[in-house]
Amino acid sequence: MVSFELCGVGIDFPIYGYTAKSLRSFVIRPMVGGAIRSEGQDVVLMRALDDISFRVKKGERVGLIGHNGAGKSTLLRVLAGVYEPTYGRITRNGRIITLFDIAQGMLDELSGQDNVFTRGMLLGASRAEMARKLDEIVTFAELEDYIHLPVRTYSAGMKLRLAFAICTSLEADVVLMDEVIAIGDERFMVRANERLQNFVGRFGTIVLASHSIELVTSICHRTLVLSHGKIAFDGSSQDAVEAYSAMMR
Amino acid sequence: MKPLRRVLLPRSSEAHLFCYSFPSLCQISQIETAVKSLNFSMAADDILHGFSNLPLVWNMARQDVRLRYVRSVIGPLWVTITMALYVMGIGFVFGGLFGAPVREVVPWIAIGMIIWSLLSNILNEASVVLVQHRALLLQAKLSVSMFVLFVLLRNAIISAHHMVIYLLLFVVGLVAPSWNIVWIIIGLPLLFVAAFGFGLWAAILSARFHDLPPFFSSLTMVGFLFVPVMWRPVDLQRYREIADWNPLTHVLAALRDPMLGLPPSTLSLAVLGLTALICFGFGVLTLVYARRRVVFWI
Repeated sequence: MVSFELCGVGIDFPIYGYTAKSLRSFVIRPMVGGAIRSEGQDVVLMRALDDISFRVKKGERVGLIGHNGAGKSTLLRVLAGVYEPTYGRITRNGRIITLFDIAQGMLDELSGQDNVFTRGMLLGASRAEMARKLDEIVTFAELEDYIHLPVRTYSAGMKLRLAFAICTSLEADVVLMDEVIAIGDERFMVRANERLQNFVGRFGTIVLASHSIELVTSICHRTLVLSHGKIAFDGSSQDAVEAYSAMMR
Repeated sequence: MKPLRRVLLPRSSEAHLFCYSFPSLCQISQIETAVKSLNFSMAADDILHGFSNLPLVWNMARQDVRLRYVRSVIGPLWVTITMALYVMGIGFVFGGLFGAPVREVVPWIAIGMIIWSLLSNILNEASVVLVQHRALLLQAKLSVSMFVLFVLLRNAIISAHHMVIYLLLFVVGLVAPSWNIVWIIIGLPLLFVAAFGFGLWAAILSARFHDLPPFFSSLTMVGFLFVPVMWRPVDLQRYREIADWNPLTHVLAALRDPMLGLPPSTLSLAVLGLTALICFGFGVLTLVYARRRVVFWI
């Protein structure tokens, strides 16, 4: 059973509002993202991913590492189905849960409880499913009676705990995560790691993008190193870390 | 240095296929489609996704309307009161201006305003809804249709508040009860189809062309003067063509006449039907052409 299969996937970002003329002088910028080139009058295309091919079997835990702008987040969004590839082919199987940006997608004026329902339903759960999970979510997020207050009154930590608890309470075949748990405090990191291990054990496939080498090696047994929108290395996490640090030197 | 061309990656024909699954629709599904070609089946999936997520959309719309009343004492009544005052004001001023009896003009203006504000709000809100919900659209695979339905439902809720004024017209005897009201069973679904259609293209085109939202807002402001809401076609001394050749006149009439207790004319219903068809057709074509690009535009 395959969770993802990508074959020659490429993504071109159209960037509008800059005249092609002004960008003609610097067509390639090597350190940020991929190649930038112009097409037509007012559209600039940026190659964010280039010729990405790999296969993720069900139950695999794959890490994504790479420098800023290497294409980690873009690749996760391709896997999630948010971006449809400009080139190439992708097969996706199973119900996918995404944990990209904790702060985004929370409605500040609504109570925590309302957010549990809205966010859960956005991720594909039913209202009844979320009602069943509400207690468990509140317990993990340690919100108690705060769950009835508007989210704007929460601290950053409370928001993070709530969003993390919602996402990890759902049943899914695949979990896609982007640098999310690295922003909590010590205590949260420990608890989040525990919950994540259970979550991963329950669901199988996980793709995690992070700058934290420790996190990636502790969760993932396989790691892809991205560089300038291409796969620079694909193998065991230990080898990937070595390849990555060699690359950065 | 010469600009790089597409030779960076050869575009083989088979490399244009990719598979696709809907997380919230079904557990495991794959639909193979070509990326570049105009894709009707994925546009259909988009619409299907919107309608199959109606509980979620309803939830969002309800919460959104409720948010407007947070910490307000009379809350939802404000929507009704604002509209009622507006109708009364215009009723007296324009009734006097055109020399028309206030008893006839007030129901005409009230019902016209309810329908017009519904339509113009849908257009204006649809043109910004995708950009407003950028964060959500980048989080998970969602659909354009879902957000258009969100705008439709939110405005349906607001219109339901306005309908209190319509009920008041019955109570004070300005509108007589009549069986002709059942004609709106034909008018309302057609209006919904038309609104869904123009909501789709307004939302998608506005994501690409940022001049459109301000254009739509000035269009609805100026258009208001040319549509028989404040005035009746019979009140016009000159330029009757403004009313007769304006499709919106007939769209409004198809819904207003039954609410006033009159049977709608065949012409009005036909124009409404045709408008619905054209709006929906254009909306779907926009979706077919631009659906996969929307996330790159917002």
